[in-house]
Amino acid sequence: MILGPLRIAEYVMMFSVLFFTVVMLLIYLRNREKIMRLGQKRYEPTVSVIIPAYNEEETIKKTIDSLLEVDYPKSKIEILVVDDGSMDRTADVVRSFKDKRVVLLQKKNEGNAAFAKNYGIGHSKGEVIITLDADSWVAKDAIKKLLAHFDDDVAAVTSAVKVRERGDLNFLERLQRVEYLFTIFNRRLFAMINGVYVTPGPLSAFRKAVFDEIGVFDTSTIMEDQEIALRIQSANYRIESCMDAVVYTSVPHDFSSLMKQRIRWNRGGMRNVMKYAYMVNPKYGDFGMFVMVYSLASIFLLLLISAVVAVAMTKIADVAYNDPLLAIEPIHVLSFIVLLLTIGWTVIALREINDKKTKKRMVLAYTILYCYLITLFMFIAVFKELKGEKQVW
Amino acid sequence: MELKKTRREISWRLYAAAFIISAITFGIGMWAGLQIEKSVTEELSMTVSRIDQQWIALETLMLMDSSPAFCDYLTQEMQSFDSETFSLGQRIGYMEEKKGVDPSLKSEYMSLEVRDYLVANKINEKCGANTSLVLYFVSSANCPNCKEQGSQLTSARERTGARVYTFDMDVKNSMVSALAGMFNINSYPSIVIDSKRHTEYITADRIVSEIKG
Repeated sequence: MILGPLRIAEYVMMFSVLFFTVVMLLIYLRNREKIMRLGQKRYEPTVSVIIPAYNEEETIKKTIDSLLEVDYPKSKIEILVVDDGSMDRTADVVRSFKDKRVVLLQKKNEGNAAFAKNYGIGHSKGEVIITLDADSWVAKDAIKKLLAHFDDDVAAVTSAVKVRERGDLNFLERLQRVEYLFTIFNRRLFAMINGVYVTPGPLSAFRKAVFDEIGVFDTSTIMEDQEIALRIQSANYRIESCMDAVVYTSVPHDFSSLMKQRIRWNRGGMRNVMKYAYMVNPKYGDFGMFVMVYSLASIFLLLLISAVVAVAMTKIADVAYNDPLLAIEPIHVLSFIVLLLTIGWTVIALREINDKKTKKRMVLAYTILYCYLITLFMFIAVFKELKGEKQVW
Repeated sequence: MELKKTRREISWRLYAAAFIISAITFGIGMWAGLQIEKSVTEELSMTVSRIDQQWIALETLMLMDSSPAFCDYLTQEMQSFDSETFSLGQRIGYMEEKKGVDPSLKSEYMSLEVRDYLVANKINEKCGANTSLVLYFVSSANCPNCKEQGSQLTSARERTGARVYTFDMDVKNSMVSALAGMFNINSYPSIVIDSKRHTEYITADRIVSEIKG
């Protein structure tokens, strides 16, 4: 076995991936009893639901309908739809609702959803602000369940974002369905070490007081829902994760839309992580020393991985003509072990979420195929960032 | 409900346990991978020995008889061994390029090549076979053209069917040293085409024309 610099980098990466996987599995084992425990607090504050909407005439009705049906006192909820300069009939659809809880706010478009969310916050009266995407539908008990997770030190609560259930989801959408379920579980694990690093756009709840203290959404970032989470963490507040406050959202249905979305997320994510790199500090506890370290490392390690992959690609043709056993090295055995652990981890996640729909072959397709596809998007995002390519929302 | 700051902690025990488990798992993975590598090397080494035995048997037969009828048999056997030896060389070469190879295995293989060359030479002499034999002496030190020269030789081999023997002079092997001494080889790349020595880089076309000439 020859140990050149690239090979050493491969082994370092492999160990770090293995360590990360084992930490997550240990967090699960340590908190097994608590993972699915529902929020215990009875907390019924006034709530303002803010829905930024830009050209959403197709989906906004269903979104508002789902909110009007939620199990929450009518006198304590307002629904603020912020029409962000739509050029379609979004405003007309909102006006057609006669329910007093639905309020239409209109403003000119300024480029991203953060402006619309802030506009809504500025007009809100609730003690708790809930942000909801205009193409997402909440489950009837979602708001109650979100609020039940608030505590003295909890500034925000994230929801369980699921892919909208339809009978005709294509293969890519079904892969994303597994990914979203896996993410719900992982976010819950991160919450166990106070390490939640994103408050997803489809549905998240915030104490209004936290906006008063740290400011509203950052309009200069393309990932404002991650930036606000990092800012909340930097102010030393807790973000809880609720696994049973369900919101259904649409996902990209073709490869190019998915790639575009993920590159945007990754580029925004990288910038945010760099902005808050100072949080790699023991005073931020597990968030600083585990979540932030891995978030930063993933950017730099990916650069190394891309170099390794480039070298490896040149040898793929050779492998095809040779005995496959000749190519086996310890790194391949380690990759196989990590793959098995990841499959196990995914199976545990789906079991804990009580998902019975996902077939075994989708779990395999997700771990073997989709994870690498997502990594590929990350490479492209890193490349575009290094190139300084302009990112539009 | 008043919003209060949270208390931060570092789960040192969790990370220590994860580190130990990861290190053990990593160690097991490394060990298993190295065992596979070892078994592949052993298998290659056994193949070298097996082919070597076949060459010895062929050499013995040749010493016993060199009648024309026997020559046909020898030539056929030699051709079948040649493809096996070539395939073995490719596997060892691939392994060397991809992840390095045990020098002793490489030395064993080169000894096999020397035996192959000597037997082929004798068959050429005794049976009047006109198989072209090409010796290629190479070194990784101070030889910028060696890799390209190797490609040129592969191309020439494919076009003519000549037998090409590659000797890595960085690997110690007394038989190879003796062979190099026979042709007074002291710079690399050096090529011997049917006993004619070339000490400079030569193209596939020129090798082909020398072989045919």
